Amino acid sequence: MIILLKELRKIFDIRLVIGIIVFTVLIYNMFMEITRHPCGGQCTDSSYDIPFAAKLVDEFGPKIEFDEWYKLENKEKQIEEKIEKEIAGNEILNSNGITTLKELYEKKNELYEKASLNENEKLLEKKIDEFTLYNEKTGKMFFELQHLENIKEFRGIIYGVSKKDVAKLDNRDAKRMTKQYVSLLPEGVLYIFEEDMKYMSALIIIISFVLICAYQIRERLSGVMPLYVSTKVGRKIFSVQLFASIIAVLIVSALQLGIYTLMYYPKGLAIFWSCENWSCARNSFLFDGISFGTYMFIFEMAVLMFCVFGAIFVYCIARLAENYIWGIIFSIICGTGMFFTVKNLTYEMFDYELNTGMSVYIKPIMIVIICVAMCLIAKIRINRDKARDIYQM
Amino acid sequence: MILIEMKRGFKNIFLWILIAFFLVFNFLSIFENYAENDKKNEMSFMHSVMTGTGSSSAKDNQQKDEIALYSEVEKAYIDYKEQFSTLYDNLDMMKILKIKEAKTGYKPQGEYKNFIEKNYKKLQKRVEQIKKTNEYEGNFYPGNIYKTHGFLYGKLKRSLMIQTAIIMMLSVFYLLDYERINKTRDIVLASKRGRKVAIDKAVAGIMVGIIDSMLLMTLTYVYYFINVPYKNLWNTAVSAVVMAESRMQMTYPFITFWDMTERKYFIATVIVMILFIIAVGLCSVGIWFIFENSYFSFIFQCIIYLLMMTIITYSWCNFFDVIRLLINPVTLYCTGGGWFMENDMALSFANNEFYCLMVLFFEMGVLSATGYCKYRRRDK
Repeated sequence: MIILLKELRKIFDIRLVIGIIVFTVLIYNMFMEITRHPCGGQCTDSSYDIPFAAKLVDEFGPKIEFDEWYKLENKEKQIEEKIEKEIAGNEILNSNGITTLKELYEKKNELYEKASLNENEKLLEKKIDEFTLYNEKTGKMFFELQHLENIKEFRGIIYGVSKKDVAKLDNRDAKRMTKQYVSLLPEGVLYIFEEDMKYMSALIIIISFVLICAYQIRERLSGVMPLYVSTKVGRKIFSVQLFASIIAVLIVSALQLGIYTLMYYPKGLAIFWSCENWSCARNSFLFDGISFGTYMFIFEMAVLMFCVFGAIFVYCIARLAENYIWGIIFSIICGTGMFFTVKNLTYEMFDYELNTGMSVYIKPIMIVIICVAMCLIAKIRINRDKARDIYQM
Repeated sequence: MILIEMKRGFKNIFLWILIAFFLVFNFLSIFENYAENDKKNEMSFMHSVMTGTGSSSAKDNQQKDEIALYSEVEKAYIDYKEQFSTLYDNLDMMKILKIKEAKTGYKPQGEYKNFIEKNYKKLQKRVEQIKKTNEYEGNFYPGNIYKTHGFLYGKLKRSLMIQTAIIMMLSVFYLLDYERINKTRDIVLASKRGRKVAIDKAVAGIMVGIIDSMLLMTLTYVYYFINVPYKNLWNTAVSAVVMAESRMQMTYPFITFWDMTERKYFIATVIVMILFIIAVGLCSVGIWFIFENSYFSFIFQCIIYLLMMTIITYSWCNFFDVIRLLINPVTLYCTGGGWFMENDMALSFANNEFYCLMVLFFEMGVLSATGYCKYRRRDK
């Protein structure tokens, strides 16, 4: 135990830890969707969609039954009333004969369908666009209306599945595809999580290589390897080093994933954890009966498992490196391979694909296979270290 | 001594393995875009249509479907050229500037606004010059369909910049750290000549980095030009209408600061890339002299570049933006697909790439000199 703790201290060199903290902050700033949220483009039309969806969940709960559809319609009426008040107070729109929302929509369509516009019409079109899209107050209301429309479109429709395909589905799938309620989880939240898990895997892989390569190469360059091999206790240190590397990556992964999950609170996304794991824009999940929070947990565990067992591979690679430059080169090559593997395995990992002929469990199974393979590699490595001659170090 | 160190650098087999790895990466990227499935045949057909050489396979085989396909492609190309022939007619660079400001929310103030408008007026004069000299004519792969300029000078060039930077850093660090890793540092430093060997190693590291980088670039570009033939197209101006690609949801031609054919543009790009990686080499030298450890130096340099990339996104809408971009070492990477032409609003003046390089060399020179002085002081 004492040796294990000492090895962990060697791995977590303070200079590297500071570098890793700075690197993590930069990666979050540059790549992570959660840092950018709320903003448009995350399977959203605007930065208002997801915060509005959060308000709906707060008001109506994580899902809305078709019996309770009137609640959405009431909400829609409330927003329309607010917009009508704004229209009534807008002199430019009033002077062009627009006093109600219906007139605004009609005018907008009329201008859109015209082949060419005169100067006054161009100005009016610009003012309408400003009112409906760019104005912070009224634009927000229009985007909220649009979000409600998107939810309402789901009702009674077998979303994304043709009648012909529904006839081919078995009872379980037909039941899945034709629900009598809508989960209020917006697609944007799923997008944010899945995109970020891609970069999170890359981040953890890079940190694993940085820590473990530095640790092993330092051991090699300090010339202690022959000393370890020359005693019985010394030979056991190799397995302790391997476990220390695994534990170090486990600590780093748990911290990174934990901090990422905690960020959902200040960003106002934690409210969606209770929603069912599908949205009206995307209901192709295998585990759509579970909550989004549970899905997040399962996904993060899959990433954690891959990275932690991947630490065995990183350790073996680091043991091959004779100096820092070799270590960096190995890290770049092997790290790129690991990143593309985890990216492909976690991409739509729990999505249900109709008629592909492939088991829907293929990707989670592959992750388990990789973990088992890593355990075998660890066993081979430990046995080899016990049996190696001193000159081979 | 420099040659001995260079020989040592070239003997590092793992650097060659890394170069091979990067080559595979680049080849895959080119293959995916221009050689996959029938894309290569399509590029070959298009090339023969543009150069008027006719499809060689169609002439040899005289198969009706191939002749029909050739005619179809020829017609499509003529239609494309005609569709884009009016791009210069109403091109107003001031309007482009206003649209860019509206889309990005970038609102320059005061004298800085006048500075940018003055630059765009110069660009408008350049547009008039292009129209007058018929520079906009010429055959090339349709920009909006094949995006050859965006790929060659954007995506591929940016990948090459990162890869050559890594190769340069590793070459420099390998040679500079060699004595410390092999525990011969004390022996080397014990002699007068040995104490000056660090300079030779730095120069050798940079030379090895340049040669390895040029090899990577050459092989990558050779594979690209095999799949995307440029024969008889090198004299087409980069400002040609047919080369125009959509950017920021607008389709307008590339307005270069000078009359640049594809050949001149390519050569200028390669020169700037080589100068850029020399600057990276100088940076590596300076950082190594401060840390005297290749591992920490590599991590520190990577973090610095990432930090600079984060900083580049912040703007103040005043002259400080120009200074900020000129002194930032990653500016050339970020403006990747738009060198020598109208691109970033703050850098919309001619020779901005060379000003960036000058400032970069000055910064890296100061860093290297400071690092070396610290190294010498420590040694004493």
